[in-house]
Amino acid sequence: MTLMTCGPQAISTLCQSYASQGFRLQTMMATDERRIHGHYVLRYAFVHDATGHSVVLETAVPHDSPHYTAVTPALPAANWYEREALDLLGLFPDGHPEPFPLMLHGDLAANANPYPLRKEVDRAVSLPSVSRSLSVEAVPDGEFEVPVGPIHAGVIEPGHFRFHVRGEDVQSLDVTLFYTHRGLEKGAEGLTFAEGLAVAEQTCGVCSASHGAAFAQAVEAICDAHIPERAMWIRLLVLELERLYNHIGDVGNICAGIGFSFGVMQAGILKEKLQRHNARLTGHRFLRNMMAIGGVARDVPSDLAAHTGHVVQETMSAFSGLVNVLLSNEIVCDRFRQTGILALDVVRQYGVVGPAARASGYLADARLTQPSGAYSDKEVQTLLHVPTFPDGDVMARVLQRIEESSVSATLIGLAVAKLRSLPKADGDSSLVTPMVTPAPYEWALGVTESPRGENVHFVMTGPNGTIDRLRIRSASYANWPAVAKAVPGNIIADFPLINKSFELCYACCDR
Amino acid sequence: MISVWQVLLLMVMAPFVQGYVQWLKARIQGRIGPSPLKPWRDLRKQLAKEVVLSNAASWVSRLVPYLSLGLVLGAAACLPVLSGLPGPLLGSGSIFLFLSLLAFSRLSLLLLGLDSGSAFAGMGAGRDLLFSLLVEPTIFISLLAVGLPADATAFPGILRAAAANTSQNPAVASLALVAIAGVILVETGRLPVDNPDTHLELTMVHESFLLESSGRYLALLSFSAQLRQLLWYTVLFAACFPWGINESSTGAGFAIAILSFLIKVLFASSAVAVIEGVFAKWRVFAVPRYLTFMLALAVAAMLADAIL
Repeated sequence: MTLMTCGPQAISTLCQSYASQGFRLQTMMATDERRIHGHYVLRYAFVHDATGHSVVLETAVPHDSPHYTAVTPALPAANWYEREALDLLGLFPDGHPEPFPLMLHGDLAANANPYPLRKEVDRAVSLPSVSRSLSVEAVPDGEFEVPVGPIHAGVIEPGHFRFHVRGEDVQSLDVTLFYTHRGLEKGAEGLTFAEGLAVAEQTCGVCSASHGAAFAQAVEAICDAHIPERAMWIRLLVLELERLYNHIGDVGNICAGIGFSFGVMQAGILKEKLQRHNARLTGHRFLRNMMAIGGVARDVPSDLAAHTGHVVQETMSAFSGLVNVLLSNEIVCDRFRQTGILALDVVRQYGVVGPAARASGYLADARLTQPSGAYSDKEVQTLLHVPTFPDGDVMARVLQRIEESSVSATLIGLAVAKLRSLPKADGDSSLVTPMVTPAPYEWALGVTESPRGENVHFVMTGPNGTIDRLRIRSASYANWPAVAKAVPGNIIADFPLINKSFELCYACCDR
Repeated sequence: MISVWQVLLLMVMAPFVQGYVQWLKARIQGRIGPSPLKPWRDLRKQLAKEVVLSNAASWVSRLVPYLSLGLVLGAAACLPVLSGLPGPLLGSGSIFLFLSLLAFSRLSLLLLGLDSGSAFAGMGAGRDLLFSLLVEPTIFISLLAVGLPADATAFPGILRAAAANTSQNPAVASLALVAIAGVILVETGRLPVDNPDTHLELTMVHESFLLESSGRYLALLSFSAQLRQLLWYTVLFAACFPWGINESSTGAGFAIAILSFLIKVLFASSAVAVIEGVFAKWRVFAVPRYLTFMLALAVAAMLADAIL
């Protein structure tokens, strides 16, 4: 990783030069380092997806005049990050095209924002209450504004969508998220790493393992620790099981978007079987509490590993039957094809990650570009044929998940074989590497590929083995802006289908 | 008097039919499913709840639940369910009266949707009107095609003509059957046209009018929707499966009529559940194409009358 520093006015130019060389903005971390250095720090992390080369561009923002030149005009991917830094830390991006609040709604943003991530703000103090009026602006003749949410007819997380429609055709879509922000990052400050791991796992319900692993990897990178081989393979097994149950469940959920109950129910049955096995394997249906700093918390004995292999094989053969039914159904194919096309340009501009990017023909996968643990193993890399599809429509995203499921099943098979051949776990030492207490104010990034794409955890240490700053960039955070770009040009009745084909998480933003 | 008994029978059965379809659908999907009694329980629950009206709502929102149910009950009184005798039916069972009553009830529902001020209802209203442009002529022409050989424009005549058709003119009978059954899927908000148990506001057609309704208004509106569904089944039976209907007025005749009606409803609702189990929802714009096809079938049925 390359680290470069520049002034707050030069950061935009520097970021632009890296972006033009094909680097993708991975995340941006804003930290309050006034107590250490007397200023705020912004770190833009870039990665080059073809070579895996990564670079972090750092700039100091003065405490008395917290302004810097916005990167967003040159690189739209920076939009949310810079608005978040404004909302939570009060750092002003000069020249930002949309300088209005992202995470804080209503009056709070305008008047009484205490900038909650500043160190002097006590985390026990609750923010002032927010009121919000939903006014409808005038729209051109023949157009209508359709507001949807944040409270929906189904039991789903809150998000407010505003469609501008002309008849059935969507002209534009505005998405407002962050209704149930939990302040996890503020809450993690001052916790020990083990406590921080529990927080990281709670970022998301369905990507718990990959969030936990990303956090653990960041801490291990700071401590320069290497985890035991058995633990490496158990991590890979758990991460791929997470991908498998998510991808199969997502294919079913996409069917719900077109009312195809056969697909919903059959995929639901398979997902349930996998989750029951998850509970048997790890004690948790959502694979929580499996990761530990320096390894894993629990062994997978060889008989259980072998059983995992059987369950996955059975599931995959049932899944391929379901896929055959799905892809030979005329209505299903008609609804999936040419719907919600996400252009490759948008993918590049907005730094889209995961299956959504790959289904638009952009190969970005943290398992390939920034592999860690067992993923850097030669055998894994030869088996890791991550597919891409050029079309970028709902069909491509469905096929992407179907193909990736079989890659995951292959990797699970390999992990099972490894776990059976490796010597049995002999006490904790073969599962967890003991950690030294790291020096304060060291930082590192932990990157994992979750079912929805790349998760990036930034951890900065505080004194005595505590967390000074945690910044969680989940795949959903990177991909939400792209959803709004995939919808215009489609009919409004197709929105649920398009939205489900991205299957993004709200809680991942409300961290 | 028989007309009143028929309406009562339809009223009692309508929620069960809805419940049965839901239950069978669940079984087909591999779920245990809710009890077929659930729609009745829902109605009881909703009747006991308070009514919450949108700020934008006017007297329309308070009138339509009653008006719509009244119109559907009126339409129910036009239909021969058990007895094929022309006398006691409302308007002698004229199909013009029947279809206008239902059209008027549709209009009242559209107004209700727009009155709530919800954007979804506006979208649903637009879609429903688009569909109804093709639905109404199809039903109309199909019924006329069945009744034409007997010069009948009222249900009792259509019944007798239909009985003769199935033996003498199977082409007309089968074309009308497909056209009417195809249109019923649209009219009752079933897959592949509309998804009756969706929570996706943006894709709704019929359900979107009721989104803002609550309490007893919702109960009345759901009940009239369930009743309307059973009316359409009955229309299908009258035009295509006229068997078992009582032509005299003997007790045994009524017993047979009731039994055969129950069996026919069972078959029709099972077919609907199976269709919902295996189909996905079409794109909105695929529906007019489908309806145009159904309209063509209805016209073909009419032509078959003239030619054969």
